[in-house]
Amino acid sequence: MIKNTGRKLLRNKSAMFGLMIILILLLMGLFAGRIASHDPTLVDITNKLAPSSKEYPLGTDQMGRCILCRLIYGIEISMFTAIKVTFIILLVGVPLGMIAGYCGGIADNLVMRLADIASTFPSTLLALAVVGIFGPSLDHLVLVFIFLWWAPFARMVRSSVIKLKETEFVMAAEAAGCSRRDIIMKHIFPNTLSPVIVYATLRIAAVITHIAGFSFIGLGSQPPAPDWGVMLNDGRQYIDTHPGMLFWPGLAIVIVVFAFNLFGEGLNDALIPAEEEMAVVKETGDSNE
Amino acid sequence: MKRTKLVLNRILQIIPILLIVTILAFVLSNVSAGDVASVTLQSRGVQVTEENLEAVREELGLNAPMPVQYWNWLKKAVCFDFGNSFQTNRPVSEEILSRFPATLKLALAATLISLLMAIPLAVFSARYKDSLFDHAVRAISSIAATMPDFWLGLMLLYLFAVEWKIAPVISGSRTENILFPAFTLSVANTAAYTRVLRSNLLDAARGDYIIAARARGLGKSMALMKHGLKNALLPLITLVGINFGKMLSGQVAVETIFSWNGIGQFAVNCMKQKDLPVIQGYIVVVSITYILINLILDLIYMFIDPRIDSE
Repeated sequence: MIKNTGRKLLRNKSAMFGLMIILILLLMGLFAGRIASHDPTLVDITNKLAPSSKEYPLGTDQMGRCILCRLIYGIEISMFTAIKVTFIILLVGVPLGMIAGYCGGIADNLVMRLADIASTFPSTLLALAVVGIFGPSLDHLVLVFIFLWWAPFARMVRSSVIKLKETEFVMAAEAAGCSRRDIIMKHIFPNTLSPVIVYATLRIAAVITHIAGFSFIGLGSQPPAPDWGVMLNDGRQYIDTHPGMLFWPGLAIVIVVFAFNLFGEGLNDALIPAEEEMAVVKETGDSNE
Repeated sequence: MKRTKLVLNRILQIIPILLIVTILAFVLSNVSAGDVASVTLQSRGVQVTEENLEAVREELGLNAPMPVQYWNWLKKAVCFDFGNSFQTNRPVSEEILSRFPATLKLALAATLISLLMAIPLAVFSARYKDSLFDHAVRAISSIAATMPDFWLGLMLLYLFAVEWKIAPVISGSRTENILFPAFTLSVANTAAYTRVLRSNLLDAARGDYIIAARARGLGKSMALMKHGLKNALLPLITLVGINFGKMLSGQVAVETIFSWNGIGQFAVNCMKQKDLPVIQGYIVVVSITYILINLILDLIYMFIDPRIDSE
């Protein structure tokens, strides 16, 4: 099964292309200190808004900082943070979905009502509230994403668990006297993973867009952090004279997001049988907010 | 009977949510910005002394226990009285209401554009499945879905306002300038609607009633349009409604980029200035709007879905 999936994935050219971009960017982010020749926050006013040159391939911004270096350091803020956040979201959503699906009853009801609230709350609203209480920063913004986005995972896992509970192999395990823990960990949990992995990959892309978006409006990372959203906001005043300041950070976001989406869709094809595919497409159709 | 009970149940569900929202908004004022009394004094331009602080605390009822304060605040909030904005010194409800039409207009225009683009695209895409057109629509919609609206907006602004000078740089909330902000907002939704509608249509096309209609001699396109579209559109209602509700909370990035004076941009600016009454008012008003839209959607669904009676 795993072999088959791997082979399917390897044969999927667009997924491999996406994965390659992701890996290259991750390496760039990891070794940002070696690749980027300038400090991303070092202000050099005498050299502000410089055009592209050998030393500054994409020029400098309004503070004389190297735009390319800032983009490279930005990988850590956007990609690394997004991966970490998505992982935490999984840690919250998956167990809750397991509990709801396996135990049913009050636990199920409670988790699902919470999920209803979380999945209908506008993120802007909650971001304003949280940032209002704790002050604007990326860490606080991340809380909002965790608070809102565990819900689709919990729902997904819950519905898989409910289906799995009725399958013959789980009933056989129960009849054979397997412990609850074994049934959950060995028989149910591994079989709920496919849609979760697919959706998590797509969600990383959404987290990246949202981090940049909220930083752009001033509710996420704060200047002088080399966040792509912060860079876009810096560039806004120079739209008529230095459009490059707007173009490059945006392009970086689009490339990363596109790579994760390509890879996610490839995983979808490889992991999920065709007849179930529609279900995942529909679940993920519920907009990006 | 079952339906009445369901509807009542659904309406009652609002109460705990409203409580949570109002408590959140209230707690916000007490935790953020440090001491409310000193913030109030500063906003009035009065010197912060121990004496003045005590007077303001007395005046605002800040010496009362927390639940009593909440109750007093709630009584006013029910009448949409959130006090005056620290910055403009005008009533918060007025400030919010004066900006709401701009946000509403933008949300309506964006929804309209999305539907006008998504429905024909999805219908043709489903009708000519696996054709060149279908592939193009799917490729473009998957790119469009990944395009962050803030960047799309900036690029459109650069191209159309700065380079080609077709559109104004500052829209100033005027209806004649609504096209670019609304289009920017609509793109991601258009992509999502096209995808969902296309897959719904393809599901519907396999349904018995389509086969029956085809057997009666209806053309493939007519059968799909007359019978398939109606069934495929229903599930889209929820998605469109939820997105509409989200847009009503104000699209800060797009409003900022196009200088569209809506409530989102206003709320974020007030947040940065620690203008607490406005933030409280914003959270309460937007949440209520949002809760109501969700309620209406659910009720609509309860009335059109015949399965509810038989369940």
